[in-house]
Amino acid sequence: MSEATVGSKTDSRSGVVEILNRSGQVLQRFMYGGGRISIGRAYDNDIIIGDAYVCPHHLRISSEGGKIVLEDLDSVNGTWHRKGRDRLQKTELPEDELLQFGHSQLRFRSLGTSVDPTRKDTARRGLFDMLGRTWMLPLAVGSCVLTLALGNILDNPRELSPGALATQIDYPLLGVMLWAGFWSLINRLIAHRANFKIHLSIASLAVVALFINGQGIPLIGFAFGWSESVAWIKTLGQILVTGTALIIHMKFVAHGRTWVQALGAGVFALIMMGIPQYEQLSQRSEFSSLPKLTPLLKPPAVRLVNGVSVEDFFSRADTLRQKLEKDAQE
Amino acid sequence: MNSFMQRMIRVAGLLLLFGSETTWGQQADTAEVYANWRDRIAQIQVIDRQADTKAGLGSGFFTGQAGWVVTNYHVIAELVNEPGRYRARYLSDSDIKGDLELLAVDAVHDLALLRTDGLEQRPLELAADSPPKGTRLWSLGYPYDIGLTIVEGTYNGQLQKSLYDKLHFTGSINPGMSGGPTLNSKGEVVGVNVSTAGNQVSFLVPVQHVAALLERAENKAANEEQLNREVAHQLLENQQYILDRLFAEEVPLTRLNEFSVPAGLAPFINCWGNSQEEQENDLALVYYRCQTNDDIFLSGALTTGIIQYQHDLVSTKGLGALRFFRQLEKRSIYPQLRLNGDERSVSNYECQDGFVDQDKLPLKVTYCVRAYKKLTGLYDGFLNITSLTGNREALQSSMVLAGFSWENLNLFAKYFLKAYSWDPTGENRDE
Repeated sequence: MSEATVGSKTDSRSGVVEILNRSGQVLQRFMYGGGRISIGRAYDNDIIIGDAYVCPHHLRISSEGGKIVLEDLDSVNGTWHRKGRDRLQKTELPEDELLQFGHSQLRFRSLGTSVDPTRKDTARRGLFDMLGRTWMLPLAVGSCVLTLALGNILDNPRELSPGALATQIDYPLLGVMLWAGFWSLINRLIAHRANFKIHLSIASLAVVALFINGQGIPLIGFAFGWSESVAWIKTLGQILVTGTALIIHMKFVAHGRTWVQALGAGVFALIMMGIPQYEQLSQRSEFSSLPKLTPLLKPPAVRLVNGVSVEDFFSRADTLRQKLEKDAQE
Repeated sequence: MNSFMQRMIRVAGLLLLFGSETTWGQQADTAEVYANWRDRIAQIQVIDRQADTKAGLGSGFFTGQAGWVVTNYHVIAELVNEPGRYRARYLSDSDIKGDLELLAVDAVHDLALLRTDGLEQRPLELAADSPPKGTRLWSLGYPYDIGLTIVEGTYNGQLQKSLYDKLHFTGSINPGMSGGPTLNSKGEVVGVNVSTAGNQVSFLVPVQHVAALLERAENKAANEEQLNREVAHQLLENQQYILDRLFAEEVPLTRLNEFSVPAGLAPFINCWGNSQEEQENDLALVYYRCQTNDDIFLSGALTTGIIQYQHDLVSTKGLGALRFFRQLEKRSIYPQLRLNGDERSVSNYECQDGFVDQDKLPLKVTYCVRAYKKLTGLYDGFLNITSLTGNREALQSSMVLAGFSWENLNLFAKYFLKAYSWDPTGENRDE
């Protein structure tokens, strides 16, 4: 977008002529100080428009009797009120109203038109700033690759060759790339910048955080003997990580209100992570002839609490009987 | 026919009569046994009411009061579980069909008593004594729905390692013959066909249990509630009988490296073991598994009266502690020991878990229980135990119990768990 001054002298009705594209994005702004200016595709115009549907000499703006007048110069595609049906010939130029010519638009703004308050550039501070640094991308992607490799090694009892390990992690990595690509596309559509590296860093760091959540919560749960609530805490962690990642993605895409973004991210994270997990956990109430076990077994050194005696362990079993009776009543 | 011929036939008839009289005390001919007692056997058909056709088949025999027919419980189990869906019908050797009513059951010994809707064949007598080992016996029934069949075999005495007394009959009992009688040469019932291990190794319910059932049965049809109450009562008595025999003696132990664990708890619990190395997975396994072989069939979906347990000593040379315990986690998710059951017969399991320190042996224990829906007061239990003693070796045990009272379930689980001990120094181990 560029700004320039046109017109021969300053008029009492001076202002700014804005040229916008079809979707309403301002492409150029010109100070209008009075006099006559021509607008068209030809290079001898005061304002040159790169739009094939605009005539070489399409319209003219001039000051007549204290009024600013727009005059269509018998153009092929005409000049229109954006929502009107009447083709304009010569009319007083309205303020703040979009007029369509070719595939472009024109709007006249008075100098006193109010503007939005200055927005803080949160995307250029703290963590957001770090995400844009050159060292962040290799760090984030490297951590993600290491995390995926570690997850596979932990889960696999066989010794994995580098080739086998690469095969195991290429699909998750592809997923991360696609996710980042999806956000870049949205970023490009809305803010005209892809920010692919930043989105890839965000997605990679989210994978690392999910891994820490997935491994760390069971370790803590085992250490303190909380195995029954570990599945729920893990799910909560997944929703938090996913929601946070989504908010950060959105910060780079559009400068919306934070709480709206948080709400959107929260809902999306719930759908993505919460519902599948809820379904999995709620299936526990469906009938199965097998005990539904989610055993937590970690190395002995992880345990931080003492065990109870056999008698004490079975003294808790009456709770199970009460649950069975409650289930039977239901 | 001339007079000579008539005289000859009369002589032959006398010989035959003489011959057959001789065989009552000596050696009966299979054809004779079949001819003499065939009318006392009937096919038992379980009919799906909606499809109005056979859903299950077995055999039965007339004994006791007029119109009474004995068969196996497992033949007519669906009448107890879903009387609204199934009914029973008999088909006699002379192709007479009729309906059957259920009078009484003995689920533990797999017997049921039914009454015909009018057909009254002469009853088979029950043998008073067990025959000597090696005696020829004849088993009758309707195998594979191909008509009444007689199978000659040999009596081989009572099973030694069985919780309930069962007779070993060397002869081919095939599907469909369940509930049919096995007769001695006098046509007395020695046992009721019940199961086979294949290769002519077959089993019979001793006739004393038939006598007991006939004695306590009343000549009126029992409803679903009465039958379920009766079955529950029998199973509760049965589990008490099992536990009384188990608790009568000290827990026999076996050693798996540093661990001492329950071994074969009674003669009726069979144990075996082996070891294997999974080179690919870097896991080595030594296992010791025990189980009763006297499961009680309650329905196609539910078997009870079971005690099974196994001890797996799992070790690794190359896996780190986190990876090793991750493999132990995976092994625990889908336990090898499992009980059957469907939604109509049992509830879901409810589980608790925690750390247990048993005689200085740190353990992670999961205990799950479920309740029987129709057989009130009966429960199944599942115990999963993992030692937390080292990073390269762990003991993983599991145990299932089916058909126990709440008190006895917990009592047995405690009795089992308290038998565990750990001797890391090796001081108390025998060389």
